Amino acid sequence: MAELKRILLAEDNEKDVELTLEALGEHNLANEVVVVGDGEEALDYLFRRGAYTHRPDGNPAVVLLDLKMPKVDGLQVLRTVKADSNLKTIPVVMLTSSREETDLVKSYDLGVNAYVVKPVGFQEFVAAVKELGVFWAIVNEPPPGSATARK
Amino acid sequence: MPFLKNASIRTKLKIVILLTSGFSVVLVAGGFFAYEYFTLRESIIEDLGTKADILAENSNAALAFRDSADAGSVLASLSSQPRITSAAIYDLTDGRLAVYARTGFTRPFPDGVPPDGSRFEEDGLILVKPVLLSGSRIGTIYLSMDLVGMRERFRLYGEIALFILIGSLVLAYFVATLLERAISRPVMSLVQTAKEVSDRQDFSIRATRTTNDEIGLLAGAINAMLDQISEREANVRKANEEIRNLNEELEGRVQKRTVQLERANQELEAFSYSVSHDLRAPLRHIDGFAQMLQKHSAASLDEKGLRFLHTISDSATRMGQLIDELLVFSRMGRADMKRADVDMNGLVREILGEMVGDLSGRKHILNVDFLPNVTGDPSMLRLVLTNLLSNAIKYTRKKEETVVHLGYRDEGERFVFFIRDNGAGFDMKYSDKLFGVFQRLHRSADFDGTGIGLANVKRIVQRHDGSVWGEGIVDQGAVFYFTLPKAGGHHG
Repeated sequence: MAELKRILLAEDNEKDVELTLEALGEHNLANEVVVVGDGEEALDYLFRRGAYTHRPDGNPAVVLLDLKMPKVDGLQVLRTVKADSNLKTIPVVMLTSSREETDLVKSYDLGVNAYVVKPVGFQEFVAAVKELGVFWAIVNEPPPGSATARK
Repeated sequence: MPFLKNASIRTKLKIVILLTSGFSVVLVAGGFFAYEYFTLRESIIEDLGTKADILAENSNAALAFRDSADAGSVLASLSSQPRITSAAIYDLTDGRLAVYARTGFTRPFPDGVPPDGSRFEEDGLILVKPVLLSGSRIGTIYLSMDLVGMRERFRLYGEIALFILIGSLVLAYFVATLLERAISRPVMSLVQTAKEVSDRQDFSIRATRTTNDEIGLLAGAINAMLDQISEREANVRKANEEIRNLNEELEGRVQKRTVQLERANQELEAFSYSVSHDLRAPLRHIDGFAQMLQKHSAASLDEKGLRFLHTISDSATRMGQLIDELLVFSRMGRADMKRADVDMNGLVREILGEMVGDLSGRKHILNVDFLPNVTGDPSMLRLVLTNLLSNAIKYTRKKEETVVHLGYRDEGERFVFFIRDNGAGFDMKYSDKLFGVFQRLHRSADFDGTGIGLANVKRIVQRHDGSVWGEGIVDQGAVFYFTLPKAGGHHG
């Protein structure tokens, strides 16, 4: 099996988390997924503060961000990540329900690396998440300093 | 009198008064002169006659006795009468018995006895009278006198008349000045009033009416006119005020409505955002968990149970599709229009190229006329043509041969495009439902679709200032028309 890189999934909806993990698990990609419930927690993880002060070293290979989250929303997380010299190289993928053009434009303005609209159909959803996982966690070479895990 | 044309009224008035009084004085003086002239002549003749009578009486004896010396002394008494220039006494034989001539008077006496009577000659009055004795004529007396007295009197009369004339003219001048004041002053005040009104545009100024004559009437008429003007002006001002108020009110209303509209638009945006984001998540969950359930428990589910799960998944997917299409529809109404020159032929070629798959295995004839270029939003017009063409291809699916014709008519200010097919058609009594959102005239089992396509077509065509309509006959086909103005629509 190829080398797996850590994925940070920021998603407030537990059902979506379950579906995403299911989709990733279907393709054996679920082992190194860190799930956070909102934007604040995502930032805590990335900046190693709060509950994540003692997390293992290294940045995730990719951050999957939901757009609409309590406290700090996806766009804000994106803005913060892309403004930080240490974090800005992390690929960030918006994984969202919104097809709104304004969200798209804002995300790309802030330097998002990909924007994926969650399909309603489960098969399509699984396919999309799988492609995402395979591409960012296996195909793509992350910037140096990213955490890796061996299967 | 042309020279009076440009003279002021005061001058005219003075000239008229002076001329009138001058003429009347001259006329009166003339009449007086004539009267005096004739009465004076009468009285001179009478006076001289009396003198002749006295002389005749005194010379009776001298004539009777033909005594020249006596006659001469009678005549000599005339020297006390300075106006008598000459005198003579004739006897019946034409002989001059005696003569008298004032010193320096040289006119000769007539030779024979002159005829009786009186006559005025150039230098005096000559009177000839018979000398009677007991009723019978015994001789003739001749008298002449100068008219110096009369002339002096007339000169005096003339001087008096001149004096009166000058006096009356001077008086007339003063009267005229007074009169002129009485007339021209009110006229000038009217002129001043009119000037003030027109200079200041102040229609509340009124002329003062000081007299009851024609000028007073004129002032009254001007005031009445000013009343009307100021009333009319007040009306105009009031109307303008009303118009301004109405405009302000209208502007306020428009502003309020704009704010409301903006708010409604924002709400709509928020609504569609929440539809887009929040409604899709549960659908995804329904489908996702139904599928997971199927995977997890497929073994323990019978065919019916599996069908139920399928239906749940299908319904969730369809609802997602409906939401997506509704969002597209909503965006078509809000999105900014990007105007460009659109090559309709190229557009149709591209669209038909994408639809070739739908036609595979079907006998078909696609007629596309050479179309004109139009002005509009290329991606929106693409959606219109895609919808109409895919409908034509969709609803001819059950025909042995698909016949579709895309053409246009030039109607001067606009193009009318039409897409005709020989498909399932529709009943014209439902034509009002054709362009409604999620309105369908066919069952999904016969022809799939959500019923949003034509609603999108209508919305886009209307945003291009065009109109759209359809004609159909059940099982024979349908024609859909849409118009586009040649210059392109005006609002974005």
